[in-house]
Amino acid sequence: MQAHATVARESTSVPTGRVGVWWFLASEIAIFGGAVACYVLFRARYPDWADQAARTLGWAGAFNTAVLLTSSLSAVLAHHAAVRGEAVRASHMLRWTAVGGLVFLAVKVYEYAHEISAGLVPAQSLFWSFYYLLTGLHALHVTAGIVALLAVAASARRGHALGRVELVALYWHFVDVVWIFLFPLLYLSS
Amino acid sequence: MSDAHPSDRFAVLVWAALLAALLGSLALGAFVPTTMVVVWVFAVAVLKAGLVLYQYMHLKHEPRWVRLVVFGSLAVVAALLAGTIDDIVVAPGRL
Repeated sequence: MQAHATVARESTSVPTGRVGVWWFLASEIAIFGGAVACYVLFRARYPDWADQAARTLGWAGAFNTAVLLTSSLSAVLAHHAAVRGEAVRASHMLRWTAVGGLVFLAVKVYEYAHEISAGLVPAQSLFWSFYYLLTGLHALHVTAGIVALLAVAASARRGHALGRVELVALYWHFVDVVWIFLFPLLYLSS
Repeated sequence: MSDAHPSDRFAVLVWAALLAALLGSLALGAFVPTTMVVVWVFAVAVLKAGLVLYQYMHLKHEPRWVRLVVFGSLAVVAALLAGTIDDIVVAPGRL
């Protein structure tokens, strides 16, 4: 028997919390998918956006991609630890995941400062409007994820509600998947 | 994520594969002609997202209906994209 003892409902064969997170993520796919689809359409319409994309800080985007991929690893290790009933290790891994999120946000703030000082603001062109919309929306999700990670880490440390480790890890992986697509679309399509 | 969990070592291997794919994307951006790079880099992104979805989120162990929820949502987005591509990319100005 697993330490976190999440119970699957007969009607769905999946624990209710996990069903809720998957439904939530499906709605998030519609939100991000719609915004990304709009960007892709206009990017195809205006090939000269490549010049704008070339002005993004590619190294920062690549570094942030590595940071998020690494934080996804710590999230999955936290989940594995929770399954084994290792509450303290699960809590530690979630905190490392949150640290990854904080590093990501710090780099993003640096990027924004660099771009704004160069006059690359949302009103500059439609490309930069999309850039700030997509990366800003993603950064909001990262921020929410950090809050959720720290809250679950605190309860996990006391051995409470270890089943939530899996749920918050699912959300964090989704945030990672979104960035996996934003990085090539906004940074590498130049 | 299901109850059939792979080991920590396997998770680290997946992470290494994801980082290798990231480096591959950067190399493609540096060496492949511009017209082709978008397609290749996006293909690598799909590969990376698949790894995270199937290995880290354990989507492969979820019931079929959960996969339908996820990919159904993607299908709706794809349908909207297909429905508007003509007005924006092919024959703009018909909005």
